[in-house]
Amino acid sequence: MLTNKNEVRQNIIDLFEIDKMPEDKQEEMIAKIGGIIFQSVIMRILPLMPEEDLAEYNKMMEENANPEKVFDFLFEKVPNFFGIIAEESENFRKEAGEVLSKI
Amino acid sequence: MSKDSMPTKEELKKEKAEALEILKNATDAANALTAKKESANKSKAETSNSELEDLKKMVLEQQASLSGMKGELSALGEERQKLEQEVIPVAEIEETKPEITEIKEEITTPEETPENTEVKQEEIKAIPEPEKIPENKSKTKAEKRAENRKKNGIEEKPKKDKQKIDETREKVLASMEQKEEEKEEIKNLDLEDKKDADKDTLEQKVEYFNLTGKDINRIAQKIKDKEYLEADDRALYEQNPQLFESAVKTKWRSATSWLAGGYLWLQQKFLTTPKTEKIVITDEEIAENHPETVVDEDKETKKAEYAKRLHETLSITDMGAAYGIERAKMATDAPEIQEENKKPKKESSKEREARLTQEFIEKVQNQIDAKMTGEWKGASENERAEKARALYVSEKQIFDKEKIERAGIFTKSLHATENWWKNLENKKGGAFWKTAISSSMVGTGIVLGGIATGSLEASFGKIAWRLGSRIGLATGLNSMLASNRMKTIISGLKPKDQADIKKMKYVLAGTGIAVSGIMGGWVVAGIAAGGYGVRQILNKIDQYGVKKIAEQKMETEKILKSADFKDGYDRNKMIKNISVFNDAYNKLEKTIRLENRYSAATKYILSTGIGLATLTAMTPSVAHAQHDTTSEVHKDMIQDKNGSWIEKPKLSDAHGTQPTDQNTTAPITNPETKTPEIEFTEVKAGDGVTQTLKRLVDEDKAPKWVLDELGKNPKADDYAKFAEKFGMLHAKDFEDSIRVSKGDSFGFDEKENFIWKHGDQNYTVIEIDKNGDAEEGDWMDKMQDEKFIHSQSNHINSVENSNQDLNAENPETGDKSVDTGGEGNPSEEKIDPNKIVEPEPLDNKNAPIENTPENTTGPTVPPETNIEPTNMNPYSLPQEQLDYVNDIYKNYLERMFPNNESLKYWSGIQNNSALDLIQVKADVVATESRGLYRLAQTIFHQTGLEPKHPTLANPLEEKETIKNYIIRGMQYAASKNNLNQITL
Repeated sequence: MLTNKNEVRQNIIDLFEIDKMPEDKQEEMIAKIGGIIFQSVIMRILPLMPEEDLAEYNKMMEENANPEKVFDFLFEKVPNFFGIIAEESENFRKEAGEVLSKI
Repeated sequence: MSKDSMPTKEELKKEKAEALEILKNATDAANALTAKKESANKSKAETSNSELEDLKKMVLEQQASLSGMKGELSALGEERQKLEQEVIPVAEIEETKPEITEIKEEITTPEETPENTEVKQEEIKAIPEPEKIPENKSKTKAEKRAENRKKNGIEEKPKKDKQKIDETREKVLASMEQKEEEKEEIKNLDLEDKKDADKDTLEQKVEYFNLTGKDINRIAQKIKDKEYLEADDRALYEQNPQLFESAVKTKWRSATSWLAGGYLWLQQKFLTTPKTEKIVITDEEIAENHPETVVDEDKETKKAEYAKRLHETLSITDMGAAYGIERAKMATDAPEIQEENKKPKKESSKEREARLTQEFIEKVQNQIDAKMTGEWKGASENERAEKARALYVSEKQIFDKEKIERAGIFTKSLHATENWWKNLENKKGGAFWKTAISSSMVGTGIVLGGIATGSLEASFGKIAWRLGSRIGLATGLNSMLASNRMKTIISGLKPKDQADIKKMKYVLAGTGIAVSGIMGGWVVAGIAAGGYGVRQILNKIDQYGVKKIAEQKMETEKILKSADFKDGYDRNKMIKNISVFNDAYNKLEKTIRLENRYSAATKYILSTGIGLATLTAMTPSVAHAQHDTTSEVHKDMIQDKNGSWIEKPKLSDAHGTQPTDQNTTAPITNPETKTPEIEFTEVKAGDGVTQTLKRLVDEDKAPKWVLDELGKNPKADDYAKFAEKFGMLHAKDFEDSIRVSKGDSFGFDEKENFIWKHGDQNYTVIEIDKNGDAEEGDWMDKMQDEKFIHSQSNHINSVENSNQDLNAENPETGDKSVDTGGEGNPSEEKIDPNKIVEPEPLDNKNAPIENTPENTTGPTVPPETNIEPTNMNPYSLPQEQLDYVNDIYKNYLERMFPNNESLKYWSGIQNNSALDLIQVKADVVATESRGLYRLAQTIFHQTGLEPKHPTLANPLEEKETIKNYIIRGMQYAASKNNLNQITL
């Protein structure tokens, strides 16, 4: 069982040894993982949105809106958006930890 | 029929009385039931359908009971008829029933004739209402008969007729209830015909669950078309998603059939089974479950009460069939239900996703296991691990795509999101965002890890949010910047004109500032994660800013030189050029001001590492103080159009020149904030909070309250507790002491408040009084203050200085005597502009700006000492070899910087970034730096050593200075016996 110390250290960066990758690979891996977590966050928050907000969100996506606008919207409309990000990030960490536990 | 065979008068009277008794009881029961039913109907709307269910159930019980007794009733009728028709001889009666003789003796009434003893059928039918019959009469007779029997020693035997009467009473009661059932809602249940799949009937049953077939059809169609569900529909959907998923596939009729089937199943199991143990409530059950009701309560009431309670656990109303069935299963121990429980249950969508996720994990694990022993067997451990990680990420992406397809009504939105994410890179600034968002997503989890393990409080996110709004872009960049993207974006912009400068500004300010505004909270997470290469990025930004200034200067020079005065002075062209220059300059200046503000803030945060974020998170009062003091902090500032706080224009600058105050010579230190009376204890390398506290105590610098707090002979844990109490993280659960930086110091002021001072810069991180109340130090004020930001001033002055030079060269274009000091500021008047500005290191082109604290202190090292090497010896060279390397080093420096003037130049650049020096192109290097440049390049190529710099792995790594890099490189070469290859 991991100690607190180890668990703190066993974050996504450590799990994927991103710090040991070449810089361009680091970026690529972070982008992939970030994309996965981002999708999870969106999957989670869409059902929470009222009809009009969801319609607005869809419109933004279809219009390829500026990220700034999108995130403004999400922070404004989704309660505890930060918490959801954190939870989904943690879910990913746990899952990855489970899968990669044997390597 | 003979007369003797006819029933006697007494017998008929007795039977009549008993029949009246039965009817009376039945009437009472019917009245009670009717009243109860009326009450139930009245409260139906409010009290739920469960009561109705109770009634239904009761009636059904009775109905079932009745049907079982119909035969008996019929038999009773036949027997009665037989009794009426049979003529039983008196002698036979007297012989078989001696009590008859006694009764006969009692009857002495003269008018009683044999004729009168015959009771006609019509009389029996015309039995009066029970309430009109006096009860006492029959009771008295019964008592008399009992007395006579007793006198004569006749043992009373249970009579067959009496039993039948009891049964009859029950039957009548049931009959009454059955009639009610037929009148009321029971008829709608159509229990007898389970095969009836008529649409209307089904819809009726679906309505029972607050759904109609039309509802299901409509919602199912929307789901199928991936349209949005309105609030009401969504409520229905969420009530039972399985139902609608089923309906999507099978159309509404099937869905309703399913629902109705569920209901019928429930009925079959619990409502219509006559002798189901839990439903048919016996007196024993009542006694067992409600002993308090046994003595006084009416049996029917008790039954009803228990039935109601029991039914509460079985209620299916408003739950949907599946849920109701589930609850019903839980509420019974019936073997058939237990058997039912053994069957696989229908998964909810959540359960399904959990299962699929688990299957996915196992699948990938199996794949990895298989490849580890097969395809990857020959690879090294690291390679295999790398392949495994890549495999997982790849499979995860595929799994998520499948998940999107399963998302029902949200699939469309998720597809749109997926495309949006994919197309981000094609948008202006989108690549930056993509990487930045990703970094934040990764970093946020790390914070949560801290929360989960108790290292951080759960309120971290909330506090961090407020903190983020305070720190602004600094934290935003910290978490969001990732190396190459930003570099690419920056390098991709080649500002040739104002439009490009605008573009640059847009990218830097537009994305950056906005980032901080909206992601303030979770970007703080990045601090805890260590900040991905932010130093590197910020240095690049700084470098970029300087580079652009230099380029802009060259452009400006060209413009100015293009005004050929020999061939005639073109005033209009000159004015236009100057206007262009000024405009460009002003825009550029603003950008740099912003950049450097963020750079300084981020630099601070990184230098204190996780400390600030965690300290703040664990000390809510700090966050509170931050929140409350925001207006105070910004009192001398205004917000630009991007929402960032900038210093108000200084009124003291009466000549309209750029402020060149004392901060350029002493860019960090503000004498007013010095607290020389405080004895500080410095944080040494490797020290954590607890070690420093201990030394503070050991050096007798701690006041009494601290000693009291620590107790006698404090141990490490006592210091740790002390640190914790005051919101400081100690090194207990962490590998090192990154929360405080080397060079930070602790002390107590005259009020015995604990002061944590950051580095050699005289501002405080936090102040904690003896009550444990923490207040934010003045770091933010200092940092927000433009004066504090050394590099900003340097940049501005660089340009300003250049402007002066240009003006000096072209007297007609400007005032030669530039006022470098503000009015009313004596200290500024003493400043020599030549000392204010750092030497332009690399011909004003690509000048690397180092953000290390050393650089911020300016050229304070005496020139003659500049060639002295450091005491570093990272490769553990023997002293003799070390001395030799140092001699070579000094020799090289003397050759490169042979006089005091050039040594002064060296002092100005020695602490600049070696990496930046190596990365610039040779043709832009200033003459004074060319020897140094060649030496650095030689070391780099001969040894392969890269100058140290922040990386994702070690974001807190300082950029290695030119001086240290050269020494280290030479020492490394010496350790490899290759020093002779390091030549000038």
